[in-house]
Amino acid sequence: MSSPVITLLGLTKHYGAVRALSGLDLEVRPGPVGLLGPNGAGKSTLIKLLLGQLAPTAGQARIVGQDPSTARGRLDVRRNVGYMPEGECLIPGMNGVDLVTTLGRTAGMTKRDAMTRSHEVLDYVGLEEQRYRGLEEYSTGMKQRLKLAQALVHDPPLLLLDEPTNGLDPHGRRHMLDLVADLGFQQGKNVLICSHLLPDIEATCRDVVVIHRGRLLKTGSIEELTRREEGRLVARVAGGAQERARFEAELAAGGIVFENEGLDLKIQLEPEEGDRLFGLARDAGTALTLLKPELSTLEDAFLGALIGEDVA
Amino acid sequence: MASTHLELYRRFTGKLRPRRMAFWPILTSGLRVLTKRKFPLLVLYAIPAIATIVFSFFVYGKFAAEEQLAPSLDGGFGLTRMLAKQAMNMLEVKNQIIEFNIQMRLFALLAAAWFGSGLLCEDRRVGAHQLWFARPLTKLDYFLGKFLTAAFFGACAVLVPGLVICLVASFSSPNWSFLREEGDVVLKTLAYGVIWVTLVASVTLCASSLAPRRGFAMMGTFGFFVALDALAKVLGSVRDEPDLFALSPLMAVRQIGYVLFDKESTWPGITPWLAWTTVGVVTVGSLLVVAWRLRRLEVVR
Repeated sequence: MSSPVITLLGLTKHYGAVRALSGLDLEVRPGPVGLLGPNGAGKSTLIKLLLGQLAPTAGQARIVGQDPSTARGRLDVRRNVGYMPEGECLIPGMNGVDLVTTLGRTAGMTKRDAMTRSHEVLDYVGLEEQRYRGLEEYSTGMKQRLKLAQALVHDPPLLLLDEPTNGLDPHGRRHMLDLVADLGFQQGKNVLICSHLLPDIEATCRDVVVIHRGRLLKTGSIEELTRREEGRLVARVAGGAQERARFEAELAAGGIVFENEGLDLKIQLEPEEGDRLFGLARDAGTALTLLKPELSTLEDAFLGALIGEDVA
Repeated sequence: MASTHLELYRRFTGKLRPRRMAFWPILTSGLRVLTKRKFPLLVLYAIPAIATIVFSFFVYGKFAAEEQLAPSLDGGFGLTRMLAKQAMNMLEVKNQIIEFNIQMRLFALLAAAWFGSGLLCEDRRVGAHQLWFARPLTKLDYFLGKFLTAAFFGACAVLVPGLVICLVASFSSPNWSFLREEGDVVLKTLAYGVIWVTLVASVTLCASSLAPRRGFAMMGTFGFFVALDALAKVLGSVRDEPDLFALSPLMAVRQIGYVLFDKESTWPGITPWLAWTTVGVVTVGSLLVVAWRLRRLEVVR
């Protein structure tokens, strides 16, 4: 297994009496990873701690092998990380090319490289037409894409994206998610996407880290997290209403709990017991045209974790 | 959901090199952004530019007239007269340069405060510091980039005009006599300009680091100089103590100018070391405040 990109050891951050992060222990694998949590969970605090923009109250973070709490480590981290902040951060008076070129030069690129690269990344994010417009004229979607472009300009191995789809319309959101998914799945970038929007994480990430009130709730691959919650089967009966009614009677006689959902029946059975249903369908004089385990969504996993946490 | 068209992502094949002058992109981008505002440039630099042209013509005229006078004079008496005239001219030119330098300090203050007031507070207000400090930049790089931006605009109002007049004097003086006899004026012009620009840029950045918006920072900068000047004048006049005038950085720097150029100060007679102390304390104090604020801007503890 490849070494973790981010390692947290008891990472704690307090703002006075407010505990933003409480003893977070975590290893983040390479690849696209979602940092999920409700508002105020401590996601942005964690990203700023990783960049060295915040100093931890206790504990340690290592990102791309460096400790961002030291001056030297901070510079090394920032050389290898592209950061897309959540809110407004663009410098007024500049145009798109100016901004990306300037930030490329501060990352250590020559003037010529920075200029060439700035045009490439602006093309990539779809700002080829607007690159010479003043930033004051940019729409929210264009600003978000420009923020992504500046994070990419020095081609860092790790991207920290803080709420990349914030304030975007459906088309803009789709475009941003496609870009992030392309970077994570096709270009092999390590991406840590911080969001409270579950569909965004599902669309762009392989792994997910769920935090709430500064504590780690769940971590693992999205596949694992959603599989763990399965416990129902989805079945569809061949024929009409009579066949379906007979099958439902067989289920009831066998003491199996089920519920109707459109054409399908959601049956409370473990997947390994699925074979029983074929027998019951045969007894009812029909057959099954569909039988599959019901996968819970990431939302179910997320809400389940939150409810568990609140009860605890 | 349908996916959108994506351009090809290209890898960067060049090399990232740690920069020795990492402040340079901050300085150049700052200058590029601020010089886009043409009207303030015109208003703030029109008077220094006109004054520079007028003084340059004056200096040129003095030396040109002197050269035309020279062939008509012959014999011992004529030569003595010519040398005496040349010495008088030289002194007059030097005095003009000194007065010009000292008077231009107000324009340097206006320019540095106008252009420099937003450098730190606007970055903080719009959140641009998050972008700068996500790059391999130290606080010193960031500070130098911003400080030199403010200093550049101050220097354009006091240092550049002073040096232009020295240049005109050097070229128009017969046989480079200005450089040979009064060459130290060039260095003193440079020193005076650097001292004043450093002081003004430090105070401007200090106000910018403390204020929430550019307007407040500008008011703070002007307010600082005006309030101390008024206080110094009131205290100095009421108590009849010339050294109290040293409380005003404006008067302290004027006194330093006179001391630097070995010129008699007419009013007020501030003890030179007090003038130096005022300038030193204000500069160092402002820079300490900036350092403290930048520390919080880069890493919040």
